[in-house]
Amino acid sequence: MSVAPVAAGIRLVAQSSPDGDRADAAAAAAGDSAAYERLYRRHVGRIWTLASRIVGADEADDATQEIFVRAWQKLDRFRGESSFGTWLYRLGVNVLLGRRSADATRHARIVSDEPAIARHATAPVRVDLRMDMDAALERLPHGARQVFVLHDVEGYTHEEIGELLEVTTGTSKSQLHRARMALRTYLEPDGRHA
Amino acid sequence: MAAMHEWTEMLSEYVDSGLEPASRQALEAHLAACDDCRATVADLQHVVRHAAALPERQPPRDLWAGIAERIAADRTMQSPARHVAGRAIAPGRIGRVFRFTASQLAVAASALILVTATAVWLLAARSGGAPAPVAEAEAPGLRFASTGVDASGVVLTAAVVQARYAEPIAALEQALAEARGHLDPETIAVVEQSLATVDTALEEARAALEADPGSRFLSRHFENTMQRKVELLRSASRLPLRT
Repeated sequence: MSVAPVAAGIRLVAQSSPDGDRADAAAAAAGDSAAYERLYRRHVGRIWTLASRIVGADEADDATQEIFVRAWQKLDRFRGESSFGTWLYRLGVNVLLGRRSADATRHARIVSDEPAIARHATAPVRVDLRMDMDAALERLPHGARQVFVLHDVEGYTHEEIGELLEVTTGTSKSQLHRARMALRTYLEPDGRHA
Repeated sequence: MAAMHEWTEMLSEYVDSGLEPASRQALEAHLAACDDCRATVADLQHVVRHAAALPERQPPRDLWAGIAERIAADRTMQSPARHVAGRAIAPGRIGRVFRFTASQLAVAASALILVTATAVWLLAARSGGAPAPVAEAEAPGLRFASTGVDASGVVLTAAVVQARYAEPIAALEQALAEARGHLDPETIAVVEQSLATVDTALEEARAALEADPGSRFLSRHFENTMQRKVELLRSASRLPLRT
């Protein structure tokens, strides 16, 4: 499904209909599970993809279900000020970032990723190990992966990432650079990528 | 000249156009002379382009069944919107919007007791008598202890509880309706306001029980709320009539 960038840096699902989403969200908020299933069908790809990149493919199914259950529980708070897709996406990011650990340990985890990500960035990679981006993301330490996905894939700024992950913008920039340096070793160079 | 590592650290910000002009100019001067850094910049740009173009994917299996199951389980302690807003909800739809935990219902029950007790006291004062305790507030044909279960220990459904109280409540409501024309407006206002509060609590209690029909707590809560209504109606029916 194609996506389009928006001003806030958050991509929206291009094929979802805002009016249809709004009507289904209102019906679901009144208890209509069939309407909610339609919302699920329209947005599950976007949410599952986000989940798989932030928490990993192994946890993506469970995380996606958790996001949709949490969204169902909070539907009465959806005021239509943003599109349903954007609202769901933001809720999803918060759920995903909250899954791994308590806030108190998040900063420590991201900072402690530094040595690991440094090894990734410098370790030589054999040509036959080169892989697609999603597979390469799985190899990154968790904190670096979060920063990379939020910044380079999802379009968040370092300031927004700093707030979400409760780290400084300097830490966000440092992690992003190391994640990119690691990923470049896994990817086919320009012109040779399938 | 800055060390190679220092330049390398700046390359991502350069790719993101995040460097201050002076730093950018210094780095570009370095890049003009450094093949390694130019290659790294190209690699980083490749990674960024690649990330921005990543396609959306679909889950390997349909996840809806698990979501639907968890949503259905979430109906516990929820009150369908139809009971609160008076809107019709088609059969099969899952009630939600207003949810109550056991502790929230306990708080609501306490508030209801306060409201009805105050109303009963006011009405008793107007009638010149002492209010009857709740346990004695029995309308004709009402002989049920508020246990939430039947003689066999089976939790009462909302329909059973409603059926038990339907007749005595109807009798008391009929009596109140007949006396209405003989009560002063202030008294009627107290009665109507209190009944509205009790009816709202009844709707919520019934919805919660319907969502979780096996809950003895909710069944007893619904019964207790019914008895509050009986108590209120009974006090109102004792009011002296104007001649």
